[in-house]
Amino acid sequence: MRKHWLIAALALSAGGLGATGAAHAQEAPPQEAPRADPFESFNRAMFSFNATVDYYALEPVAKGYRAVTPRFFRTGVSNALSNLAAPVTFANDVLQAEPTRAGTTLARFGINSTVGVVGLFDVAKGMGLDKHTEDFGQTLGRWGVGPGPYLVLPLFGPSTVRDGTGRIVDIAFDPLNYAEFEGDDAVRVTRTVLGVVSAREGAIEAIDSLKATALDPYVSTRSTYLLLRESAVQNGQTSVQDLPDFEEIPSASEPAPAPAPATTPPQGN
Amino acid sequence: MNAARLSRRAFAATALVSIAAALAPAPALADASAEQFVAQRGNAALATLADRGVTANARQAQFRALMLQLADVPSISAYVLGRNGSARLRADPALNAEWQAAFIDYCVAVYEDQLEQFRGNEMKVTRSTDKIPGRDVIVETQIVPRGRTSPMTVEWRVVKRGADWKVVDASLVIDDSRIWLAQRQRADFEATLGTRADVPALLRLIRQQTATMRSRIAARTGRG
Repeated sequence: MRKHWLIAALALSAGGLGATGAAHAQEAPPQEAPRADPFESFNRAMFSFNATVDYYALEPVAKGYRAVTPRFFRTGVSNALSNLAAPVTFANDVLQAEPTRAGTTLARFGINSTVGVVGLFDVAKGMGLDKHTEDFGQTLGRWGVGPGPYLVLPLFGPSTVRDGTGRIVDIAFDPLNYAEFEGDDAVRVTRTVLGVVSAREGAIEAIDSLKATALDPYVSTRSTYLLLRESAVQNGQTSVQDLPDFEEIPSASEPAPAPAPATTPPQGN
Repeated sequence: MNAARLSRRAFAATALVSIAAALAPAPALADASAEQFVAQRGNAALATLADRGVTANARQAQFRALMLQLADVPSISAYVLGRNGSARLRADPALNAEWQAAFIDYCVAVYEDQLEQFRGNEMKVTRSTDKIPGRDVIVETQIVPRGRTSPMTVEWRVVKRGADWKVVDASLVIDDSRIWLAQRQRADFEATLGTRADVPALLRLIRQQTATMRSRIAARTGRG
């Protein structure tokens, strides 16, 4: 959940600073052919819109939230929000036929909701049950569905056709979206608002870094999103043997190596 | 009697397991020399940034020298341009020299700026994995960013260049996803280069970006 928000928050940062941007073929290793970004004009417009919303609303609110709340409070909020996302992760663990990960999610949810006081404390992590997140976009990826074109959604940030579709399905997996109880609407609104603020607060450094170092924040956000999603579909387990080769290149400031001596003496007459 | 016999058997079994465990070789490090290289050179670079006993210019020069020892900048500078861009460099040695020099300046500025968040903290090696034993190794480290309590995982891909190890890529692990920074840089540069592989245009952009970052660092460290 936090990772998803982090990526979404990245898209809400910085403006689309002109620059060029042609694209990259998705799912291909980065050293392969360029990716397709057929909706680039629309995406850049949405990126600029999101950046404006971020500049005037999200960033100031996130920095204010950091300034007025202690760290343990923010950690508790983030833990509780992650805990509320556990049913979505569990459903997708099951759909991906990952019984061990589904068991971990279920155990974490049970422990943190009770011993961890409605998820405020991540007690399960201390027991060796590390958090992971899954969504239906990742599930579709595991089923072999390609990401499709890159898409920047207004307010939601970077996505792809596959991941955008997955987002809609995940709404159905989340019981809090249709459970009826007293004050249910207020709880849903509070969760959404807190989720956005907490995620943006957690991404302050990442977004500042992107703004400071990227030649074109739109392109960097796209690359980051697509590479992280590729990795997420594999649960971060890509083989080291698939890493690209780095050709050995002599330094341009060093003299070229002397030619190797001839191994056979010149033939005399 | 039976209980006593069972107890003796249990004791013997426990003793055997304990002895076997004690005698079993400790899990071998994938590559101790690669791990040592990353720990020593990486922490030296972080210590340099934390050194407030030298002038800002001296610190920058020292950090640059360490970066050049730590990373295989020529290889990385060609890789990040992608296939078309690196072909352009091979065909034009003057452009290659210009690009390598500008890319080094850019890398030093990026890392000097970004490693600020780890300044003064120590990087701990947790394990390593061989891609090619003795030649190409991924070293996993953990470091706590300043102002945070939980460590973040950074992996360093080191390759043998002659007798030395050199870093060619680094990854950040976020939850259970990872992103390799040189791969991301390549995706960014390829998009900016476009199909014409316009390396001179990219050169101008990274020089501008380097100047912006230098101003930022100077403002932060009190250098005018």
